[in-house]
Amino acid sequence: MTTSRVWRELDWVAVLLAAALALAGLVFVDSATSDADAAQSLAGKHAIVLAGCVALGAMVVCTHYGRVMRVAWVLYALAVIGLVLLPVFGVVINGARRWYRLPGGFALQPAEFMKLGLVIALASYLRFRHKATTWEGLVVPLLLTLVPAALILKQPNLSSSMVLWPVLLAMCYVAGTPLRAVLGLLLIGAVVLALGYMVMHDYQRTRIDVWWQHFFWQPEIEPSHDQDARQTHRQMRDLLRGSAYQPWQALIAIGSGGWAGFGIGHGPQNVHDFLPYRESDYIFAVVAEETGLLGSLLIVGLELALALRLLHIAARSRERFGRLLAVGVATYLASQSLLHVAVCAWMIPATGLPMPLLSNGGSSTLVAVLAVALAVSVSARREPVLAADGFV
Amino acid sequence: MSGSARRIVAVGALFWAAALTVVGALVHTMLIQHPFWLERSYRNRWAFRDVPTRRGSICDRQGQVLVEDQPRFALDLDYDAFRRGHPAGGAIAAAAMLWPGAFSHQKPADVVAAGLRLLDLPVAELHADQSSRVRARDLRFYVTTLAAALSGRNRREVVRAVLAAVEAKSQASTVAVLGLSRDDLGRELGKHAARVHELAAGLRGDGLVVDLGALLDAQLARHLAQEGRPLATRSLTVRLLFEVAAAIACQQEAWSGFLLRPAVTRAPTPMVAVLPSLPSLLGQVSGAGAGDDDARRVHALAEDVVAQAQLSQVLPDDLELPDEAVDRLTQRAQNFLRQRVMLGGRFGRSGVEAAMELALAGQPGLRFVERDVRAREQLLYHTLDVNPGHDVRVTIDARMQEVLERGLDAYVRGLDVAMAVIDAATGDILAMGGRPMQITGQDGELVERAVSPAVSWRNAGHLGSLVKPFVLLEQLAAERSGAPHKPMAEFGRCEHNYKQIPGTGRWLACDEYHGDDGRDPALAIAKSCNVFFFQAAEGLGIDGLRRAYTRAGWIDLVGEGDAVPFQRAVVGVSGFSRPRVEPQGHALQHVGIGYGVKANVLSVARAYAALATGHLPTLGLIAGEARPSVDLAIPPADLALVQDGLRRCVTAGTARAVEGLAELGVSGKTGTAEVNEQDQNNAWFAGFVRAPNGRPTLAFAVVAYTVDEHGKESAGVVADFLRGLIEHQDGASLRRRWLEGVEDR
Repeated sequence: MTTSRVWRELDWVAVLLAAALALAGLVFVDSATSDADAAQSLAGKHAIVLAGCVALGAMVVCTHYGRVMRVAWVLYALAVIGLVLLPVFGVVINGARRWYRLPGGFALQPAEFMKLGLVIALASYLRFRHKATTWEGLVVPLLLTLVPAALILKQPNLSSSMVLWPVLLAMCYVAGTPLRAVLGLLLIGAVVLALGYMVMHDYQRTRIDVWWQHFFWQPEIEPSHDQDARQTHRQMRDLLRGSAYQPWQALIAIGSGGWAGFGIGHGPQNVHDFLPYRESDYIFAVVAEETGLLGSLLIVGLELALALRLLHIAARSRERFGRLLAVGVATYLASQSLLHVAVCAWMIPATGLPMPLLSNGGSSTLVAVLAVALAVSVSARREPVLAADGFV
Repeated sequence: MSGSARRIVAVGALFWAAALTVVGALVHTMLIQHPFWLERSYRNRWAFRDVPTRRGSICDRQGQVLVEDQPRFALDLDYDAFRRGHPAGGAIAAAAMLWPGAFSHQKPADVVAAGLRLLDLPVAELHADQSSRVRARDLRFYVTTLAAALSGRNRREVVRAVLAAVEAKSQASTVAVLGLSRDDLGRELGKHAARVHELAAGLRGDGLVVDLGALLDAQLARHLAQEGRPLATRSLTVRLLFEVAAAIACQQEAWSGFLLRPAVTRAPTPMVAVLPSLPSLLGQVSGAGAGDDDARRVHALAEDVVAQAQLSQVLPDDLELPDEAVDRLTQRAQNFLRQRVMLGGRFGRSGVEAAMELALAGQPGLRFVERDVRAREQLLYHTLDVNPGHDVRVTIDARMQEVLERGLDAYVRGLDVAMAVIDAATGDILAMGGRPMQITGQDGELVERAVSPAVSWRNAGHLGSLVKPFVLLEQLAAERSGAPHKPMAEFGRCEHNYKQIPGTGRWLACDEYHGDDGRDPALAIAKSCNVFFFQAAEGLGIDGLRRAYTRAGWIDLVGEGDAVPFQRAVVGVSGFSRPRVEPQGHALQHVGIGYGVKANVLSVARAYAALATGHLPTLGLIAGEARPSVDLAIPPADLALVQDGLRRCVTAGTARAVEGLAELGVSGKTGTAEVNEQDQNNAWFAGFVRAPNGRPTLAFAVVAYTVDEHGKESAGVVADFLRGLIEHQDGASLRRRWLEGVEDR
């Protein structure tokens, strides 16, 4: 297939959706980092990274995704090795060893690459298992997921490891794994999560405890002469200044946005620096504060539309690897985006998870762009296959 | 549709479901709960800042400033910032984690030793394997901060090098890892420690009660006990001079943890420094502290301030909040203002400062600002104007006070003495003072500090013969009205001993044999003949004597339907002890010569002003007050007779030996009240100065408590005082106002 035909056949809707998200990301990263203290906004750097990612993405689109399939296990192995070597060569930032330091002030986060590596590996593994038993269709993929998940958990990085599971379940399910097996795995996952609470780090446990407690808070309690009320107020104040600070500030940013928000670059929580990590882990809070519910719906809608469009690509693809690849990428993008929004709105315990294509962060952006490029690459190559449709 | 396509649709449906759940939560948070979160957002970034008001000055009657607010700087200690940013703080805090109790902030050498020992530590000790994760992190922070601050190297580079060595579990010290000179680091740390030590010494001189080194140690102990929870900022002083503050402000990076802010302090002018009685009279100003005895009053004053503040003006008009939220915000502004007034306000605690609090205090201002997360102001929304306090003028004449203080110093010789001078016509207190300013015990420890000299620490002393002019007035009134009395025509001669007190064997006696002089009322006053007044008292009875002392303003007749000349307090005079007449336990005759009658010098001067003018004035310390005087309705002849007796007291009577009194136009009466078995007395002299034109000007009273001397010695103080007025560098003005023509006599 010629390159021009590839570009002609490309699913431009998905590309435009991704581009719209990336451009929105540039705007909000600029808004989140253009405070007076920073030497300059991070938007410039983010734009350069994005441009590089788009160039790489274009190269991926031009390359037949079948070639990726051939090196699937190599990519998976490289990603796992990247995780394995982290304790040796990685640097500790904010108490976690998640990054390799690169020249020029850049850092590489192997967990992000692992997400795409797993999608590719699972697609490669599951493409011939359309009549898979539970063992073949679920347990082996489970083991493939378990290894990187455990390595990522050890960093510690609970949130990134959480994203791998929806990807596994969706890909197995689409590949033909019986529904009851998928549901069974979900149940086991819930039990493991509950048991995992016992062996979690203290800070992780505190995050979960505070998250649970916050549904029952009465933040309007003011100091009074009543000893109990004063004590409650003090505890509340300590909590809001301590372990609950980030999610609480994010909630304030989101809730104060209202219908239309304060305007881009005018969100008080953003401008006055009340919201930490707002250019990455809490970018959606900035979106909500500055553009209100309308802007938030637009961003969530764009992410959802992109994921659905990738599913559409998957549905139209007649080749199993490409189809599974598109499903895996769609699930990765959808689950990470929705988890990010849920974290910002404190629907789930606080954890650091960038929003694909929107948040600042080299590894995250690169992986998201490459993932979308791979998926749209599938859309451009809907060759007929000789074998009957293997999907059941 | 194939099976896999159906499954893809199912996955898509799950995406939709998850997205709708998230959107539902967003709608709930952003629309339904919007007012709540909007208010939270406002509360995050909106802050109220107080603008301290200037307290009014206190001036003397001539307008000379006696005490005023002066701009200074307050210095606060933020211990958390100190241990994190100051090399001395970091060195000791880290050392306390590793070697508890071994080092202290109180010795600069300790700081250096702690810092060097820390930097000598093998960096492997900073690895999380060696202790808890948090502890290792803290230690690494202290070590890298210390090394960077002392070496002047970029902190990021230092951190990177040290962390690399920590990861490698190197046994080299931080000094070796960074290739630094240990001696240079020690010298640099020594400079930092010495600066803190010098500041501590300066603050001690500035009245900081707690030693800074000890305070830092205590804060460190608290920090360790609280396991890292933030400590409150501690105030070190509010009186820092500009020079010291400027030195700190110019090198802020070297003074981490020390926070400067503008402040004002209440400072007496240099003139007051040489007038020891005045500070007590003017009173104290201080902030409200924990366990404040005066808490209720301070709270009431704070409520006044809040009530007067137009807080609704401070909030912007275009708030997009429901009314209840605006009310809550207004409530917060009120609470803030109340809290600032309670904690940061300054209140008059005694004397004029307390009495005139409402006038002096003024109304603090409020600024409503938008701030960022580090409390830096970004935008000023609105202000509530500051209303400075009003100046208050007291009736004290600083020049007269200066003369009085000099006279007391010359006279005192270790005695307890008090003197008051008032305007005979208006009751204005012109000068008052006393010595000593504080009473110490046998071991030299402070027993009591004078709250207000001249009226407090000895309370009201027995008056002795000072009461006699008032008894005579009552005798004359009784003879005219027919009230119970013994006619003076029937009074016997003074034979020294008058009669024996039944059942005691003791004699009612006079100090001298006055003979027939003792039957002359004017001479009886002048020579203070006890026998005359024994007989008068017998005739008047206790009721007559009570009427006499009521006329002097020494008895409270509330509820008896008569004019009430009694003055129980003077606005602005702390510790004013009300006069007391307690005849119980004394023979009637003795009550007639002043036993059981107690008053302070102000009350006595007031009573003698009445003898000068016929009107009992109301004492006052605040200039410009409208104060009534009570017309005693004394027939002019009676008043003239008493005044003649007082005049003859200084020309031919008990005070005749005191040089200058007669020439200075003084009329007065000595009083020597025996107060104990050791023949010690309260030596009084009270009277007034009458200008040659007949206008009474000054009334005065002076007393030396529990001394061997007699009243005439106290009269000498008055003579010295009046001469001092004439000789004062500003004497012309003083003479013109108070002693016109006196010196020409």
